[in-house]
Amino acid sequence: MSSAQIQNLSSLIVAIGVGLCATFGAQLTPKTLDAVTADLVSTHQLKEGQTSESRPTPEVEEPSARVMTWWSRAALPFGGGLLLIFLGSMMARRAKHALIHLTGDGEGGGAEVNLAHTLGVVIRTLDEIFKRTQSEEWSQLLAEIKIEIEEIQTSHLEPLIENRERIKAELGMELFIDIFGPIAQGERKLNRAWAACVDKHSNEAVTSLQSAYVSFQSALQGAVQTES
Amino acid sequence: MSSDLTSLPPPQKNTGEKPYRELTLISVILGVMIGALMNAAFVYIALKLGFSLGGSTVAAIIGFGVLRAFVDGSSIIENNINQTIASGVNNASAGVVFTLPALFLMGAEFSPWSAMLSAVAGTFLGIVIIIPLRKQMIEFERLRFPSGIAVASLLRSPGAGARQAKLLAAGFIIATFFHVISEVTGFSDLNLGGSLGIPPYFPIVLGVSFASVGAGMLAGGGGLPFVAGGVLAWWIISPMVTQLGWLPSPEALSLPANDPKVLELQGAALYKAMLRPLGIGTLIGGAMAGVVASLPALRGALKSLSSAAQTGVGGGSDELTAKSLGTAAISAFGLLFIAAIMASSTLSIMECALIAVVGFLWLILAGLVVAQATGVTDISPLSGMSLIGVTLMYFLSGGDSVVAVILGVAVCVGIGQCADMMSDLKAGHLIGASPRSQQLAQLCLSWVGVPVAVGVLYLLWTPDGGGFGPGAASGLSAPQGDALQGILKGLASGDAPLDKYISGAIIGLSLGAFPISGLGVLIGLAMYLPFSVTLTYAVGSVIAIGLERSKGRSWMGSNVVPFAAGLIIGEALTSITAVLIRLSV
Repeated sequence: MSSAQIQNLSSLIVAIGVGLCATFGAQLTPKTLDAVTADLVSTHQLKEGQTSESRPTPEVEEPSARVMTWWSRAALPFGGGLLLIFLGSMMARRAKHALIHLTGDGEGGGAEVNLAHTLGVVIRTLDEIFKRTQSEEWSQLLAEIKIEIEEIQTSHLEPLIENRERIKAELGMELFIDIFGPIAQGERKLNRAWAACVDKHSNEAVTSLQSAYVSFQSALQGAVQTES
Repeated sequence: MSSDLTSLPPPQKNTGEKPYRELTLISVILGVMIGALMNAAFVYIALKLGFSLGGSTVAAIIGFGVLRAFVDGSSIIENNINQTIASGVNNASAGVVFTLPALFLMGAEFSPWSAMLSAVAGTFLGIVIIIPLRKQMIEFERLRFPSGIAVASLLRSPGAGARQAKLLAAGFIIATFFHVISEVTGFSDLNLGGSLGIPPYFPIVLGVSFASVGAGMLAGGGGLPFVAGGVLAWWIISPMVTQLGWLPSPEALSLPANDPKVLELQGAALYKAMLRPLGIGTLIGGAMAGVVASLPALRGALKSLSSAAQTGVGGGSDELTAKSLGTAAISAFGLLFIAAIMASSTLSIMECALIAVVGFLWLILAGLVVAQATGVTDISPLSGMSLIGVTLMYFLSGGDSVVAVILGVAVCVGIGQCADMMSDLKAGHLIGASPRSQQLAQLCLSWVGVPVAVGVLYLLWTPDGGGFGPGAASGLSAPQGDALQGILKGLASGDAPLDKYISGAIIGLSLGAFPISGLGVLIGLAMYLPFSVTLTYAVGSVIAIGLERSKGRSWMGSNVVPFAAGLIIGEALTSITAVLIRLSV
């Protein structure tokens, strides 16, 4: 059985478990059912403009007594449902772990992206932009730089972000945070540079691109260290 | 390997250029003014209709017009600050109006100052507790926050290009057109199941809401667990419970077995007494599991915040420091404690302290639930979470309704701020705003909304029956306050669905073992909501999944995002306009 099939099967098991738990969790105790019924009848009569019949108000259980009564009636199917949820979840965890290594995002939807390589490409592109600013009037380049930022975002950063589940699984949570924190910061600074380009504010565009560059460098160092 | 940027001479800077505009005086003044106006209007709307409205899009559009027209060199990010402040100031309207009117309606005596203090405390607490989760929710988990994306699309529109502007406009027109038709005809649900003769305990009902479709489109495959929760609740549990005979029988309802009203009343019992409280419990359990799962990321975020003042790297200098947040949290807790003392004439200082601590802890958990739910679906279970908060306070105070509601105001306002702050930070991330500026602006100014909301409430309340009090001469029925009053009366008679809350919480906690983040919260939310909302959202999700498979992910970003944002903005603005027209007529 493939990992994807195991994942589907485990989802089904969890769904059955939740269904069992929720169905028996929803069951009302006899006294609660009487109280709910009395409430519905009086609301209905009020809505229909009928005079409410003088029925005795049903006794309402104390909350703790209600819990005990419910548990004594639903414990077995509810517990069975819980077991299915845990069983399915464990299967799903194993299958997802295997699938992440195969497809990148654990859902079979994305191609694998190399973290260090992608960051290197982003940094080189930013380098190119800066080199051009040495020879050309910076403020004249804003419209072109805006397009280049959009290209970095869609072609490099988005696929990288889509792969974050695989990267997280490979690196572990702490290293993932150490590397993805600066990536997200660099992404935000790029977005700011984009906004500055639209607002035709060249100084802010420069500053933001520099900040983005520093953030991506920091992420790349982390990625290279991890690989080595 | 690339060359080191620092080895290059710096690019030529434009020395004549003014600093880039972000947190400016005009953005602050404009934000407070728009927020206060929306706040007053929405208090009135909520007293009359029972629901409030989000104001981020309105603030962004007004800010766009004013800043571009009157301020030389205004920026996209400056407008983001205006919109952040306005939505923060407006936020208090929902929190105050959903809770405080219950005390007016009960004829309880209370100090308005205690309510005001409590709401201000809730405002500060809501903001400071959610800020450390920005990295986890926005940068690592990448929650969508559809309204945040919609606002960012609006803010980015000057540079987004003609094609994306057209798509945004197309979404706007479609949502507006259908919402106007829905408003004029009163046609709000498309009951497909009913027209096919399918019984109502297996509902197939679509809501006429293109904003829900848009939210589903933005969530795409990420919204599927929410849809699955709805399917489970309404297509599996509902028919099973009905067939097992666990709902009130026709005889008990004093109606003939074939009377269509039987199914209607059974549906009401299923939703109100079973699925809704079970959903609330699942939300709580799911949030607790989420807290455990996100502990490593939370630790990382706190580490980053605490290094802010010293290092200025790794995102630290972009956030308010841990010290600032801690100081604000302690001060706000002090206000909450004083509010508890002022609200109660019988409780000891220790009892008041205990209530304030529990209220604070509940606010943290409920804030996480609401932020997570809003992050994936754009739907906030605010009233359910506030209701539990009031219930907790009620029991802790030994049945003191005044203390319960006064502290409930803090919880309701606070959890609203959590969702709003996170949505604004998402919009800010997408346009490159500094989180620190946004956090500072919202933290320092959102409290302004509290005196506005409480003041308008007092203005509209007249004890002789002219306002929303007994007699309701002005037609202000305060439905949410009235419902809370009913619940408090129920609690006084011992009626609290603790069994449902506990069983739901166990389900939510156990779902924490499944490798999908926030699964318990999404399943709980789906149980908590009517199915028409979930099914409409599902349509958007399925469309997005289909388009992504055929067109690819990058096509989605440049085409579906602006279109879906247009759908959300169109419906939000049309709703507000329709409500204002209806009220003026």
